[in-house]
Amino acid sequence: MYDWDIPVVPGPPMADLKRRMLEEWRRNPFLDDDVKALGLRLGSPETDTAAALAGLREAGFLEAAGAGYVLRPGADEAPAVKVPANEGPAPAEVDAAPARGFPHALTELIAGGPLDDPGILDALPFGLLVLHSSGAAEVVNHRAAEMLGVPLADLDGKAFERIAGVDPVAALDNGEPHSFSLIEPSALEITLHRRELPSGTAVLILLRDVSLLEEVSHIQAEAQEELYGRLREGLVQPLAAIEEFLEDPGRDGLVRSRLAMEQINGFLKEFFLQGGGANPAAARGR
Amino acid sequence: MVFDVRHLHPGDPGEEGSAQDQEHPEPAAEESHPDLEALVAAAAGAGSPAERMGAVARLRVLVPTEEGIERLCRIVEDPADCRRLVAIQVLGFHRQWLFSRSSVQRVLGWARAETDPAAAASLVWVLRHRDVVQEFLRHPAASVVREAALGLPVNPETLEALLDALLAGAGPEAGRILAAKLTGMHPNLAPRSVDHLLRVSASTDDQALGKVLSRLPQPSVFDLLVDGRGRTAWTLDAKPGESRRKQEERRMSRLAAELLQQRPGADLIRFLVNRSVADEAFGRRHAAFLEKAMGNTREKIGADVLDDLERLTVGASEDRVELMARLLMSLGDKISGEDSRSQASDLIEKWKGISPALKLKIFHLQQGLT
Repeated sequence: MYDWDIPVVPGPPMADLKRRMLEEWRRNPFLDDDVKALGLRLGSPETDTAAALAGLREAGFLEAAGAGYVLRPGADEAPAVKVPANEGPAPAEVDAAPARGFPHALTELIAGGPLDDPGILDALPFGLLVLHSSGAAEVVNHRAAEMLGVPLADLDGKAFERIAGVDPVAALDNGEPHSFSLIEPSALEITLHRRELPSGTAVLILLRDVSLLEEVSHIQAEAQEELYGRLREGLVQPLAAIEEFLEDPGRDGLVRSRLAMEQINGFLKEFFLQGGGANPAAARGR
Repeated sequence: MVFDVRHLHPGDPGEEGSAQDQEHPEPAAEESHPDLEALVAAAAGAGSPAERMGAVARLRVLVPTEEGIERLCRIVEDPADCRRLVAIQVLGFHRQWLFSRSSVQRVLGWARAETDPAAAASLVWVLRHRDVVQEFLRHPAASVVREAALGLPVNPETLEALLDALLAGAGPEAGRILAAKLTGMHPNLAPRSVDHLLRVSASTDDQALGKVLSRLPQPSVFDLLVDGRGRTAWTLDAKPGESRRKQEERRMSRLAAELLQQRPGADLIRFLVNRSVADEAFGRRHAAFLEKAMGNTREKIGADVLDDLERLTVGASEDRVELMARLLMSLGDKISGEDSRSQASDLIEKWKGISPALKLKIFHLQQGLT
């Protein structure tokens, strides 16, 4: 796999389609698809594909070479595409935001705002990961990297899928949030949300550390197991002995039943419960 | 010589700096015969993106000779060579060497043995538009399956593999691509598809079958499964295998009828209208189906249906014209465009002129009196 990065990425309109298109060329710079084949490859209508391809050529990301197009040498000098007014309030810098492979467009959006503090994302009490539809990371905080046990720089869609076993980009197909739990590398509750950002469709992933809850659940389960064991010994087995006596009364059985009753009474007293009504002595007198 | 450089552009990077070349004739000679392996290494190497993309651009323009192809093949066959991926992609881009069966078999052998998914996907890309890519629809790596789906030609040889992959759930990406290919296939392949679906339907659930059926050409599916042209004849002495096939045919027929009634396309409506008018028995048999389909269609009916009706008017009996008028009026607001609506009104007026009795009947239809 080629590991080259494209230091700038195309902007609206159809930023997501253009970026996916570039991703295809990054994967195979010898791609020779025509517009129809490219549309099939990307799952986009032919008209959109043609417009996005023209946009990439116009912006200098691709240039004609023999049959088809090739990534333009020195694409890092490609001019940024300005955001038209009707595409939302995103600043033009979004288009040329520097990044590892893809821009931190969201980070750029919050530049200058109350969240414009490098530590603010890491101060969040949960892990945060925003992935572009190509799987590239737009925003990652240190807590997310720690929780998933991967270096911050390596955390992207593929790394997430490898660890969680869930393709985060698949969440884009579903409008509803998707939640699941992980036990390894640590107990986590993960929620994936589809979000529309000015830079395109993105997956917002929230990671919550639930190791304490996991421990409490574990203790609860152990306590429950113990209680069931004692119920079996203190109630179920004596009641079975009484039932056996009632079916076939006899002297031996009577003695065993009395012992069983005492066992039940003892068990109930241990758990601060009373058997045979409010006043057992009165009940015996009757 | 490893490159055919006859078509190098005058402004190609390899011919830049002519003044410098005059001073140093040796490097100039080297530039005029670019080294294939050096370019492949530059494209795969650790140089700047501009250098690598420049090398890729030159590799796309320069055509490797037979010797150059052999060198690239040797790189691909060396699993430790870091230039393999680029070499595969160059071989895939300049595919004229794949004209022989032995060359295809050679690439097929590499693809079967490849363990790196990126290289395997590229090898499948090299084999694009050849029937042999069908075997990679069952590959464990999603990227390879996707490339196989993209490169799969749809023809009688590959149809079964395509249908099997869709029925088995080829994954979201490959499934989307294969479904699109199935939708665009030639209608002549529909009977073969239905036949194959009947053979495998016993081990397939309704949902998977429905997904595939909904992608086949609707008129063919109707003809073969709902109208039953493709069904086997019932006999008293049916063998066990035949009765099982009949059972599957009934199941598929039910499924197909449900699907077609839920989302009938304009081409199905056109087919039904044409057949109903041309064949009275067909019209009677499927009157309820047609009515429901026309009510459910979300597609607009174009001028082609109106042209058909106009053509069918020639020599038609009054009963048949009345039927056509009834059908046309039930299409109502589903007729697209002002021109087509005006053509429909003209047609009805023309039919009214055939006889006073027909005029009255059509008038009653327009008033909703029948």
